[in-house]
Amino acid sequence: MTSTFSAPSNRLQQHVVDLRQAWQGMLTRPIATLSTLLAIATTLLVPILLLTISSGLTQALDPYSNSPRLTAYLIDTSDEAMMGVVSKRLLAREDIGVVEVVPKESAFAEFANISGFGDLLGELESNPLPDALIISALQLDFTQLERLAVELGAFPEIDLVQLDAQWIRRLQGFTQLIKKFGLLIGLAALLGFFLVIVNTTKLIVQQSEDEIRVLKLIGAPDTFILRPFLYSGLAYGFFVAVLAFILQFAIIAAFGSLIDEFLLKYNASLPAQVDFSLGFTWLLFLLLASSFTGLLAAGVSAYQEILKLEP
Amino acid sequence: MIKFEKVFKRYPGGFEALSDVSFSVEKGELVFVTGHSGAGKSTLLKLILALESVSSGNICVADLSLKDLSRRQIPKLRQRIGTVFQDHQLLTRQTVADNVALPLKISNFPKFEADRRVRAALDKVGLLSKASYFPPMLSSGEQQRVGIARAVVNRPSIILADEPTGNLDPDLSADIMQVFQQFQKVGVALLIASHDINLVNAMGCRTLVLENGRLLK
Repeated sequence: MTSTFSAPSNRLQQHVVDLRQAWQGMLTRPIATLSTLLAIATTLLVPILLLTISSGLTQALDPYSNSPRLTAYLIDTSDEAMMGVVSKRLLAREDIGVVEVVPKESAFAEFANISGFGDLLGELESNPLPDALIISALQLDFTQLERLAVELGAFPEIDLVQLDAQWIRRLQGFTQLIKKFGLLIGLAALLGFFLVIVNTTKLIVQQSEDEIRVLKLIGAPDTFILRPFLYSGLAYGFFVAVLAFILQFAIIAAFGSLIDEFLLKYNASLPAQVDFSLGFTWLLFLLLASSFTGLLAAGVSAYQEILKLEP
Repeated sequence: MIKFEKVFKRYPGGFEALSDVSFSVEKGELVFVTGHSGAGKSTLLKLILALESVSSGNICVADLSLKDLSRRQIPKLRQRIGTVFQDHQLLTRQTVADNVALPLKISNFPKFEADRRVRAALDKVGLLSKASYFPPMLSSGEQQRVGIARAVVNRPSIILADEPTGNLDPDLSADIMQVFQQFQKVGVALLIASHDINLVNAMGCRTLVLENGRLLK
């Protein structure tokens, strides 16, 4: 007569019912649930924003850091032939990809055009600008690039070598700092989230003491009693992340243009609009981290409380 | 199905609730336990449900020795027993139907089959029309009947009942006892604690009489 039938599909069905019940349980306390979700989402928003900005800046700077450039200014007596010789020597190197020759005449014409001082410059007796070579290095980090600059500076035909990407280096350093800071705050926020869910779950279990005792009386195992609390923690984690993402998108939409303007002050050749989105991998990671934290916190808290309750 | 062997139960402080109790209830047998308040009836039922542990002796329930029972096995033991509690033990925030369905949910029954069994159990105790009610909306007698429906819905091999007709009028008491007898006929072992001597006599079943924790007969 004892019925112990339990097919996997029935267990799955039961999990769906428990998930629905956990969701309904959250909806029965809408204000408390929403305020908890908002409080945690706001805490998570800060690291998410920092990571978003860091990710956007990294993407924007990527093309520059992958092909860093040097400008080599040749000596006053240089001519077209010297430029050709030096250019060939440079291109023979394995660490240099492209060498762009900028004769002093075209540099002067471009400067006169851009600066708006064309008439004034026309009064000059001679062209004060040197011949220049714009050198794109191949996949070098900044230390290697600096070493290359020193090496090229030693060429007798070259008067001065200027590293074009110093500002990128500083900005990348700053970006890395933002990223590390974001991750650190993120960990602290997740810890805070963990503690909030531990406390919230503990209160809910305590409010359900009588029901839990009845369930134990009629043979419910701890896992059965635990399940709705686990789903509740999971749902908290999931919705906290989703809410934080929505807030993040809203803030980036509102202030993204300001950041673009700031970046343009660094370099006019940056893209007019930087893509400030975390990317699918980060979104998925944060969603999973948040959901797992909620699940773990609810599980730890509920299990401890359930163990204490005996009929 | 239930076997007590020289069972003693002493509480801290030295009070002996059960003293050298030995008896057995076989498959398809309906046995009453009577005795005055404090005689040890509730302790006896608590021991069977592993809500308390024996001080000495042993109890076997559905081939499980309770002395060797681990914490993880206790729910499995309770799932084999349908229990009617004197104080009903219903979930007040769930409907009558949901309360009755609980043992089936715990055993992962398919929803369709569970719904069918819940309707049948509620029909047997005359509460099908109140399936969507919440327990506080019912009288004490009706709540008792919900408890009975919940105890039998899983078709357990053992049914324990602590004063199952205590809140019911004579007609309903007779109906409920008929339900129990139907289960007895299909091989379920029933142990019913009651101080209703008239009911016990009317049923004409084997009766265990407890007095000060000792079994008189």
